[in-house]
Amino acid sequence: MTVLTCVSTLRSLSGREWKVLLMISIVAPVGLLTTFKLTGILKEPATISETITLETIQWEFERPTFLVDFMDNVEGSYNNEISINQSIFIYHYIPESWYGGSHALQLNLSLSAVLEEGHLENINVTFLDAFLESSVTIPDLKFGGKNDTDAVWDNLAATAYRDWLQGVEKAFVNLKGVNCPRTVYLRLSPAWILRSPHNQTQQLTVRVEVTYFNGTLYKKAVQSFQLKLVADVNNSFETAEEISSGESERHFLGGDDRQDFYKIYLTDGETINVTMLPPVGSDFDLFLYDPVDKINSVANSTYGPNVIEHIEYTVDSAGWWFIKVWNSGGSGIYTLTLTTSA
Amino acid sequence: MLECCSIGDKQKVIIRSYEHSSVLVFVLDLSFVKSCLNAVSRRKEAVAILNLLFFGCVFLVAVIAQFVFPPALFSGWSPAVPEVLLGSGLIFMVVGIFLFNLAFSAFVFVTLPGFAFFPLSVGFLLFRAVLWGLLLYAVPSWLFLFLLPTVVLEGEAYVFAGVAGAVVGVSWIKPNMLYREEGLSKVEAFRKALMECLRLYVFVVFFLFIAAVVETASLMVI
Repeated sequence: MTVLTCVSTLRSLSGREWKVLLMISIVAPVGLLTTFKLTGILKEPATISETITLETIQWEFERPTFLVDFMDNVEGSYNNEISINQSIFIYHYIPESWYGGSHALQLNLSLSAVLEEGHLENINVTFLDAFLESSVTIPDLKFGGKNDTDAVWDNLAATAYRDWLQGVEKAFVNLKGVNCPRTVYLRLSPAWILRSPHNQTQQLTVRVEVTYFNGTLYKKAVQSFQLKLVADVNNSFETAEEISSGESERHFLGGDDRQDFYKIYLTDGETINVTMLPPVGSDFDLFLYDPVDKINSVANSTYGPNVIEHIEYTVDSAGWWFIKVWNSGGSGIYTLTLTTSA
Repeated sequence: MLECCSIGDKQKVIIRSYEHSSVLVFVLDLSFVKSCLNAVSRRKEAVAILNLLFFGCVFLVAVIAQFVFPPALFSGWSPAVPEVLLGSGLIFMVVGIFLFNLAFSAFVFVTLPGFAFFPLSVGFLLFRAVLWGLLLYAVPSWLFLFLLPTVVLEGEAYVFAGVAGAVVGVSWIKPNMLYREEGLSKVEAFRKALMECLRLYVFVVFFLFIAAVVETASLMVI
């Protein structure tokens, strides 16, 4: 009966009245919605009240020509109302990888977070590289974090992920906390496929964002890792790398890369102490040159494989003194340590 | 220079632009515009009711969702625009958004289902209203205000698309319901309804184009 009354009322409306009704049919609901929104009847969503940017962790190494097992671990931690431990394990560098023969760096990212109060909201991991042709692949993401795969997570669920992306952003993984967790764990095994010529420096930034609720507010902790593979340039006296007293350098020799040069400014009467730890099974030698004669070394240490080479020498003139590390056989990463005393 | 003249029963506006001794003449057939307005006028009840249903549904869903799913953390907003359009130029973006909304959001998802069975147009229209209600309740006020002009313009376009679909859908099921005094057969009514649908689509195109411009401008600002 009411419906019929409504219909007959509507039918009896004039053209002008219909126009008014047409306007009201838009203005009334939209106006109500806007009023509800602006007066707070429809509540505002929570927003992140603080973003904590942690110090960027950097890892840099000369770009090798051979397969190298770095086995380096770079770690970052944050301990406050949330305890976050995250690390990137730099596993090995593969010059002829199965990714189309491109150079690749195999990584392992792990993160654990523990909260005393509140819950962990989400974790976003982004991989960025300005070199447009490079790629990042993250295996096993589609398996949803199961334990026997290369992508593992606990108390988290993947909401979005992509790898092999074009552009600066190469890959990302977005995970959401399941059932408001206080403890989460994440492990990913990405591979960075460089695709640039061997003599080019390339950098990958891994940004990890952890959003959590501390019981009162939402906060976000952002940790960036910068992994840099630097082109090998210190192969001559002219391009020798400057080194200071007390510094330690780790570099690669092998294949066509036969020698590395370092330089240090010394004054007359200073004593220089150079120690070089070669990689296992390799025979690397050490030479010291004065500022003038670039052909004949003033001191050297040329023991056989697996022996720590050492030079101690008191210089007799001021100027730039040169140290050469020579590869007599083998390949790998050596460690050069230098100290001076008056 | 603007000249108006009457040719038969069709009023035409002739715009003459004199430039470098060449004459450009644009003829805009006002009778077509009139027929489009007539089509809306004929279906004003349907437009008003669908408007009320659509925007009322957006409002109701937003209010109900507030209580059922209290808004969680707002962690940024990603526009519901195909990725390929976001990085493109301004004009390409406007045209891209407009064509996507016209072809898929309006025609394929609202009008076309109504051709087969007229309540489907209304159903899909209301489904969109539910989605928009869920989208709008969980955004901050500043973003809501940015989205509102686009929502109103695009929503109005989809309402017209819904009416167009329903008109064609009803025409071949119950021709007398649409053209009461004309005594048309189902085929004749369907043909006539298709013409009416085209005229209603002029408004869909108009609203969607303005909405695409507003949406692009909003995206640029956000």
